[in-house]
Amino acid sequence: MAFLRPTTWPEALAAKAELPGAVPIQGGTDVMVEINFDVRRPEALLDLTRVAELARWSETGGRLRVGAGVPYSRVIGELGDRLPGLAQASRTVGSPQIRNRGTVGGNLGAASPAGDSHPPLLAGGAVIEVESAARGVRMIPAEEFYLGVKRSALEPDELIRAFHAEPATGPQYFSKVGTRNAMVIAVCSFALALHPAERRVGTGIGSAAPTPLRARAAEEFLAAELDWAAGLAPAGLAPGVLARFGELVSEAAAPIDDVRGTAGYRRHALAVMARRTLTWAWNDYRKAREQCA
Amino acid sequence: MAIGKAISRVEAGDKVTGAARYTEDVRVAETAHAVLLGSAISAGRVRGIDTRRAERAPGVLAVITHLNRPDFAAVPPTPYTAEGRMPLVDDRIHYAGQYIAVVVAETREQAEHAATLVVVDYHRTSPVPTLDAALSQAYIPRENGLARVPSEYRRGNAEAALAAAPVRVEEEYRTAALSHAPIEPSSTLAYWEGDRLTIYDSTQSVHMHRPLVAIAFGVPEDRVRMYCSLVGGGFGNKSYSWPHVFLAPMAARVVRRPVRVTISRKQVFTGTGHMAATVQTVRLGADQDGRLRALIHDSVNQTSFIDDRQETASAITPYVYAVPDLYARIRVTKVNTGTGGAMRTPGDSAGAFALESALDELAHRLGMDPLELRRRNHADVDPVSGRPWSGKQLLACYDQAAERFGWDRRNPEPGSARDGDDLIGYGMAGGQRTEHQRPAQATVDLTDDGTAVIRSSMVEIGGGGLTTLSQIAADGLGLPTAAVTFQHGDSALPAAAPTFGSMTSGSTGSAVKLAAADALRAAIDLAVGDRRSPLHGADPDDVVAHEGGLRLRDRPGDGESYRALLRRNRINTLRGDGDFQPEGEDAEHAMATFGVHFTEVRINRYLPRVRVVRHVAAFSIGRVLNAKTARNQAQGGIIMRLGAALMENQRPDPVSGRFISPALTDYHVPVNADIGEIDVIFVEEPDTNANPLGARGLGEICAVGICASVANAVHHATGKRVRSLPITPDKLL
Repeated sequence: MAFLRPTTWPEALAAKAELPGAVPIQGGTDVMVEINFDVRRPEALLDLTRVAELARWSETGGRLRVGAGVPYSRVIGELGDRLPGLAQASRTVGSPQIRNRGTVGGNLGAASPAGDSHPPLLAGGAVIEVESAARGVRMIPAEEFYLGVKRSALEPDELIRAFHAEPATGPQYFSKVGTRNAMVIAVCSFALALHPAERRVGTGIGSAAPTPLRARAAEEFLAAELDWAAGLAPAGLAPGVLARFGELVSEAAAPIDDVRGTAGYRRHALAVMARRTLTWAWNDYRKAREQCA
Repeated sequence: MAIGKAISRVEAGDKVTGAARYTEDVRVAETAHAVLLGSAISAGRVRGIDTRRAERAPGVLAVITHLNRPDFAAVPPTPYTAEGRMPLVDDRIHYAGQYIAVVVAETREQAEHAATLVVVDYHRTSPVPTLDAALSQAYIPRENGLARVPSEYRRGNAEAALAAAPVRVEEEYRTAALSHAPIEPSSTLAYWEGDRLTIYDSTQSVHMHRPLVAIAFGVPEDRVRMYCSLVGGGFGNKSYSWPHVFLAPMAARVVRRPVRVTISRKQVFTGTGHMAATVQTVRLGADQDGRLRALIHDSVNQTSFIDDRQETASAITPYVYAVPDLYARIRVTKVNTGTGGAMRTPGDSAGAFALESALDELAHRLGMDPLELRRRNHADVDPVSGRPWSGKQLLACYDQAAERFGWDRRNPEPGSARDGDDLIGYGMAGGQRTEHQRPAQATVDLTDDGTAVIRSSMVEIGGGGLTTLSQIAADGLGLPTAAVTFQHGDSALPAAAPTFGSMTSGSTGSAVKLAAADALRAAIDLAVGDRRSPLHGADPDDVVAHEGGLRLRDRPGDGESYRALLRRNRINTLRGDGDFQPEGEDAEHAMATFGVHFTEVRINRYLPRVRVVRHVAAFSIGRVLNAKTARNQAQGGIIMRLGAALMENQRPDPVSGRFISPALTDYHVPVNADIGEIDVIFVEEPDTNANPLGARGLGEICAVGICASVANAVHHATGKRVRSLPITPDKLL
């Protein structure tokens, strides 16, 4: 197995173009597990940890661009105020050591339906920046990125360079159920983002379908039901709205039974998490409105 | 007194700094590395195996299969030979992961690579994948080495008494297959010098396993030297010599070099046993006042096609409660899985889940407090032999733990306690473990620098034996614990009891006590016979050990240090011998350890995950040797079983029978964030009927009863009775 260590982005792209079978590796928290378990034995590993720019993030024109090599611990520490949903999800990843190594870019590369960063990326409307030496940059909305179990829209000669997202303009929440309280892959997970400026709701479902996905019907239902302008009404959310939102999220999923949980439990838990995250988010929204008023 | 003191482990510093040397850390020049290739199918034969590419791979020294292996001299006896079939003996495949080739190379990486080049042509047959698929074929195993306890026990006429009982509970309970999942994967390093074999093995007993290797290779036992100083977690899976233990010396013979086999992380799950899944039925008959009239406990466990190994779930049942009419049975049934092994706590953990859940159901049906139900059926004497118990303090355990827990605050109505969206449940369950003893030898050497050295082959598996046994020797000689060192884990030393079956404290501990007493006696004899000693001429019975030397019991001023005594007499070492021989079947007392558990669970009503927020346990184990290591061990045992209660499940694939989660990524054991407050009480009473030391075992009793206590708390919280472990949220929807 060849081990390639480019130090610049153009070198990395050239290496990937030359050896499309090379598997990019950042923190190794997915790739090394698969190699250790003989799930695969790629012809080459493409180590991207020396490409310094991948570990940087920037904010220009009200948009964040986060390099594929920024680890979870830095998402939490440096971007927690701007990407709260993603930061919450990052806190649930593995242990401190794993959060120091693992990256959102790596999570995207693996494209596992259980990856913790996918639901907040979907809910937040993130866009993935990928690039190849031959065809240059492509910008892929998160929703179009996930194609199947551990399959993404990435072409064999392409690498993930960054993801783009707008800093949160409203409350964002992430919720995850595991078989234990830490060091765990999600049984299922859910992310919610409120986008008050556009009066829009974003959602993301994890580990409950072949791919991470949005609950579109739930988003549309909720966007229409929420009293965005007032936000002040004492009860805020009618119980019927909460319940229906939970149902629609649950219906959007296509879970299976596996070692971590049953399909029935996943559907049930998704509805619970949808109601919970919506309650938290709407309380935040109301409080913010009250303070403004 | 050093005994009883809460001191840290003597090897703790080495362990946290990385200086501690485990079997994998041993380095021997010229060592080659073997990798074991496991079968990809779970039933069938190896029709052909092509090793040519592997043999030509870089660094490869040999590829050994059933076709070219050397013969074993004999099949060593079970049960401590884990499998009754020697590895590579023929082309048959009984379970997935069974070793079918050994690849030996200069480096482990080369061996791993070459193993991927071995091409196997399998003849597949249809596997029996699960316990359920085999349940109708259950049978009583014949009494061979692995059927360790009687498969049936009967007193009175349980069926008739059950039929006549006014109140009955008859239910089926299921426990999942569990993996020991220790941190340290088993490792064996072997080399031959002529017919002398040196073997470093991650074993829980060098003296139990050395003879097995000697028999397998047809050499006298004294030609084999086995070492193991520290085990990085065993929980029973290193109580046996698994196939890799025999393959390392075989490979070393073939390549004429030292060979190390360290099994892979995944092979820990398939190559060193598991606790077999069980299906149990418990039928209880009682009077309205809660007195048990009849008890029938029937258990079936999966076993391999190689061995009939019982998970002895109902073996303890006849001994636990005063029930006049009782029938217990253990059957097995063949599944295409590896042979199971003892896992903390063999038989009793699984059995207590069924029995103690059923008692809770009975209490609920009677409208009686579950603790009161147990008090009413307390076995004042051993119900099997009629002998008095030695040091049974179970009623005191009930009282103290119930008080500490606040059991009297429990409203018996299920679902009655809530805190916001949390349902709160209180549950309790008892536990009992037969106390096992084995002969054990140790020496204690008193040296002329005023220190002492224990010599005994004991293996430290993490329970704290190096520390507690040092405390015993220190007290015996009037030395500080820091003045005692311990030579251990070497078959050339006096034979310790194995470090399994909770035998270190009682058996090896007693040997150390006797050895220290013998060394002291030798020092006293030397002093009273020595004209130059201030103790010259004293009655030996009046001389006692005190602060690094001897003195007269009544006149503290008269005495001298060991150092002065030995140096003056030009003696480097005074050796004391300790030989503990347990009483046999004719012992006056019945011996067991006892415990009780109280658990508080909180369950969110919408997302019904069970959180154990508080657990109080009390144990009757005779004398406690070290308050800190004992508490630590008990907490560990409780946490281990909380895993079994809530998450651990080594599930078989329903088609192939292969374990679905043979890896720590999916086989989840509890993490720190899962564990609430755990309080441990010891109702202490030195039990000198049991042994000279007065201490019984703790390592196993601490892990009996927890699952039922949790399940009973879950019922109290929710009104739902979960009779199948683990208690996952889907079962509470």
